[in-house]
Amino acid sequence: MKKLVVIAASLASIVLILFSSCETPVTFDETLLIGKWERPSNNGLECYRYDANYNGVTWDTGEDVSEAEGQPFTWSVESATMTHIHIMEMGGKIPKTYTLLTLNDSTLSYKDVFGVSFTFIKVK
Amino acid sequence: MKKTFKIVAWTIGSLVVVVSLVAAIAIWLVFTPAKLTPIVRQQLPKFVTCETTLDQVDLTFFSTFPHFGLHVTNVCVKNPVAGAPSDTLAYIGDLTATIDLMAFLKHNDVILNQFYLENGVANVYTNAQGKTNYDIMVPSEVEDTTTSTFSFGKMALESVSVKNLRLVYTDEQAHMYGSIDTMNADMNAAFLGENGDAQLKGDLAGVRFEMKDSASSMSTNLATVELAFDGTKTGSELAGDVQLHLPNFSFKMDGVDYAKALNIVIDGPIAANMNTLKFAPRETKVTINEQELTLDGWAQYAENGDIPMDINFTSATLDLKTVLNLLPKEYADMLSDLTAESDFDASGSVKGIYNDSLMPQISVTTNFERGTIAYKGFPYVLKSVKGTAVVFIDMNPNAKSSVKITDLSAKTGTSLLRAKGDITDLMGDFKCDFLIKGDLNLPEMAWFLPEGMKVTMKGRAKGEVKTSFKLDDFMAMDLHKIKASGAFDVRDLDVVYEDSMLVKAPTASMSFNLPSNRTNKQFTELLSMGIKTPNANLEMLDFAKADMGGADLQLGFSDFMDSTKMMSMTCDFDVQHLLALMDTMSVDVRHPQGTVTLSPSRRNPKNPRLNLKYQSQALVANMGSTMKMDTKYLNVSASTTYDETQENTYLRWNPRLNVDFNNGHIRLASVAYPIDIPTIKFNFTPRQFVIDDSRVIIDQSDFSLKGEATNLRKFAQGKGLLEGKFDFVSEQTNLNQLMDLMDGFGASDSTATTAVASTTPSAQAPNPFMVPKGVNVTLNTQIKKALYADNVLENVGGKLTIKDGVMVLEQIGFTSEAAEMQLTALYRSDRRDHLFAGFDFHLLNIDIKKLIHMVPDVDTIFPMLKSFDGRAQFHIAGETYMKGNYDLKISTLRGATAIEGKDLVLLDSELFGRIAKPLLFSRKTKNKVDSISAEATVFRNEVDIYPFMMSMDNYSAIVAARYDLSHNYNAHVETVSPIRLALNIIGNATNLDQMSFKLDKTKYSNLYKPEKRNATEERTMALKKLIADALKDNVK
Repeated sequence: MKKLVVIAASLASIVLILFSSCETPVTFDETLLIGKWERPSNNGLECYRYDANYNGVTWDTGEDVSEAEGQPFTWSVESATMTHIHIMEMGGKIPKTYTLLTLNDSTLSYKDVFGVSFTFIKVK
Repeated sequence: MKKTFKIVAWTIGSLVVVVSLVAAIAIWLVFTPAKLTPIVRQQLPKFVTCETTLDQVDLTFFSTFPHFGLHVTNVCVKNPVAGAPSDTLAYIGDLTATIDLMAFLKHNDVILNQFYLENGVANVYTNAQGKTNYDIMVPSEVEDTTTSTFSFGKMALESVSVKNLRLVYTDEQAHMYGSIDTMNADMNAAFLGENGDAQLKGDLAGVRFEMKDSASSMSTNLATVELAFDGTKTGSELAGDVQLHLPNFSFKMDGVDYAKALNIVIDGPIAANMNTLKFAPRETKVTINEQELTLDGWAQYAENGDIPMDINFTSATLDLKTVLNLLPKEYADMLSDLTAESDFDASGSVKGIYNDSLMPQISVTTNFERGTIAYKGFPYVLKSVKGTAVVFIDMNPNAKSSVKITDLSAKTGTSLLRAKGDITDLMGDFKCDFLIKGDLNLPEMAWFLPEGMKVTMKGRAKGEVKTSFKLDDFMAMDLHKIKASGAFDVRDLDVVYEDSMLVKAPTASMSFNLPSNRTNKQFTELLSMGIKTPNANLEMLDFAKADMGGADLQLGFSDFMDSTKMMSMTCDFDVQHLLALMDTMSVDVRHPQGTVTLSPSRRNPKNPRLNLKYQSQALVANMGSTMKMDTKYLNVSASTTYDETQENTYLRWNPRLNVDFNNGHIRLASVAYPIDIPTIKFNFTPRQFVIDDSRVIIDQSDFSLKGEATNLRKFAQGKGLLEGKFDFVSEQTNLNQLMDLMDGFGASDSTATTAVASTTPSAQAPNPFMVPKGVNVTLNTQIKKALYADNVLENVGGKLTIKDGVMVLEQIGFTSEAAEMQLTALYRSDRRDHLFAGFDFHLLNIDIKKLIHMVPDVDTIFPMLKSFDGRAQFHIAGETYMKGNYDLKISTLRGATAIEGKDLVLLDSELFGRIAKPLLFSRKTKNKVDSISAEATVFRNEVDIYPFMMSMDNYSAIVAARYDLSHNYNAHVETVSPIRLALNIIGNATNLDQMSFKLDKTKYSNLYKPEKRNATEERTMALKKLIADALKDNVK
């Protein structure tokens, strides 16, 4: 009986491992990202523009910043992981990694490793 | 005139012949009128060709006893000529003549005892064709060539009386007309051979003479003529006393009344030689309208037509007003604005020869006294005019006339003028040389100022003017040909100009020279002026005041009369003390001296150029409570060329400035620190600005700034960048104080990026430092000791570059007791409410405590650092945009940092205690950490500390965290060995008691085991490397 319990537990573990390793990775169509996205900020809108060449700019109109004055970043999407690398004029780089939750032609939502979620609406 | 005399002589001769013939017939043939008269009538045609009638001829004895006489009445000679005013040539009403018959018979003496003529008329006429009415004598058939042997012993005219004789003379050929309405004369005379004596007294009335042709006209009128003569004839010499009175004499020529109703008297002895035709007045008095002249000398009519003369004259005291009234109206009108009264006398001579080509020389010495001169428009009357002048007139060819004024004085109510000098070449250039001395009351001189110039003056000026000019040049105001110089001492000067500018000087000396006596290399001076005053006050009402002590101003002017050229002027000034006040501003200068010059530009003479050379000793300037400045020495050379065609102010003025400034001190209300300037030497031109030397001390900072800025002109034109390279060398610089100074400095907001309207307007208008656009300036810094916050930085060296709106502090290296450092910083003022600041800071081998002290913000990003002690390498880059008041725009905040340390000590603290306990750390006072390598980023409000591991004794732990700038934490601390535990820390770090410290699941088991990392862990490590590498790439 004790052996049966051990065997059953082992099988169950194997099944669980097999099931977990065979989970289909979530992917997103990165082309849907191209364009301008915005969400409310304190006094305006927090905006991101994703360009097709994997560059982009971000600005916040709530702080009297225009798109032309936006700060640059590069972006990439791998599976559900979206990475922004913000390029500093002074030479530093600031990586930000997010997990994509939704990406369609109107909504972009993701969260960071600390669980903070962000939701943007695409600017038509 | 000769012709007139000839006509009269012919007339009189004819009458004498007729009378003599009648008398002879009466004496020799017929003694009764009845017999004599027909005989005379019968004989007359043998002698005259015209009709002649007479009433009666008789011989008288009883009526003329004791002498026989001849009496003729109503003799009329008619000879009509067409055009003549009358057909009568002559008429004799009553004529009686007696002769001393016994004297004639005995001694052959002809003594005409009595000749009486009453009611006579003579009418002499010549028509335009030359035909006369007096050619009445029967011509002789045989020319009489025999010499007359008839001679008289003694001839005498004892009594000649003419009454009511009227003469008319008309010569239409010569255009001459003359008449005497009434002539009365009485004469007694006696002649013996060539000697004789005579007394004559006569009067004429209605004397007129006129000569007129198409070219000119002349007329003379005398209402009456009274003549008396008493003289003798000795041989050819005549001498006697003449009294001639012309009480109403008029003379007009060509429409000009040269004499009008003059009262002329000639009285005195006159001599004449009939052979030599020499005329000699002897102390003869000539009086015209009671103005008396005494003539003495002679004049002669020589055979060759010359009239040599030598006549002296003297006058009694004359009245100038009366003499001026003698001038013809046409000349008097020229003096109509002049009213002159004076007593004067004149003496002199007329010497020389008068003929067609020569004129005698006239010399006159005149003395004026008690004169008064007034000129219309001139508000003051010249009184007490007194003077002496010598006039010399020589109208001969190449001769020059002159006036020498030996002394002339006059005064107004309060001013006195004295003058002397010469006027030469009176008839030619009229050259004047005067020395004029004056003691002037300045209010009276205001009249001489240009019309419309509102100036009131008080004070007195005493001095002299020496001048030399030709009249034509003076009238034309050709100042190039006028010489004048003068000097005045002025007292109590008080001038008000346009009711707005006041000048006061208790004493001053002024001088001028025309042409200028100064040498000027920049332009040819026409006029120079000098003004010296020990003390003067200038005031521009409601604007500025200035006190000058010991001022010496030397001014030079170019030809200011030439309207085709811009005037040039220069002023050399040397002032012992100048105090100027304007509103709340003041300048107090000791011994300012230099030169200011205004002249046309050499390149474009239409544009003015201003040059200034200035040097002063002690100078103190105050701008109210805003600024105070003083200096021991200031030397400035400045110039500007104004070009009105340029729109840009800089290009319009083209300034040049060379400054040598020593021992200066500046206090600014807006700056808490004193600014001392031991020296500044710079040279500014329209193209470049060169600082040769400068040393500035601002409280705790001292520095030397040298270098140059170029391309200024193109920069001003908007065609190029302003290039500049400067060296900033300092022993010590307090960066905090300098940054305070820079607040609000810089260019105006010039960016075009205005698409986004500000949604956060500041309550107060921000005034941030705006980096100039179009500028490329590099500042090489060498600072031995820099003070920043409480830190001391040493050997600070690097570049500060300002380039087209961006200020870059480029790889400044320095050391402090904390570390060796390298800093690159960038500041850009895109627009006034959108300022960019960024830095890249590397601290090598830094003391962590000093690091936190030096860069307090590090504690915000790495709050756990303050728990460490030791040295580390620290790299940080940060940037953000700011509002105009320098508040951060958090959404733009970016930062990355990396820190590496070895052999650190983890200090015990409350936080460490809270962490150590659940993780089972040993709580030693000092926990030595073998190594630490951490990276963090700042994005907006988020600070992410990427997982890093630290080892201490046998403990190893991995730390990762996310927090915001408000210290709200979400941290994860995980021990790797000796046991595996994890602690989650959540809450605000400012209150540990409120924070949550809970055990959590481990997350980073394989992070530091490369062979076991999963994809996420690989990515994490790659990002850490990305952050660190990007930062370190900038380390030099």
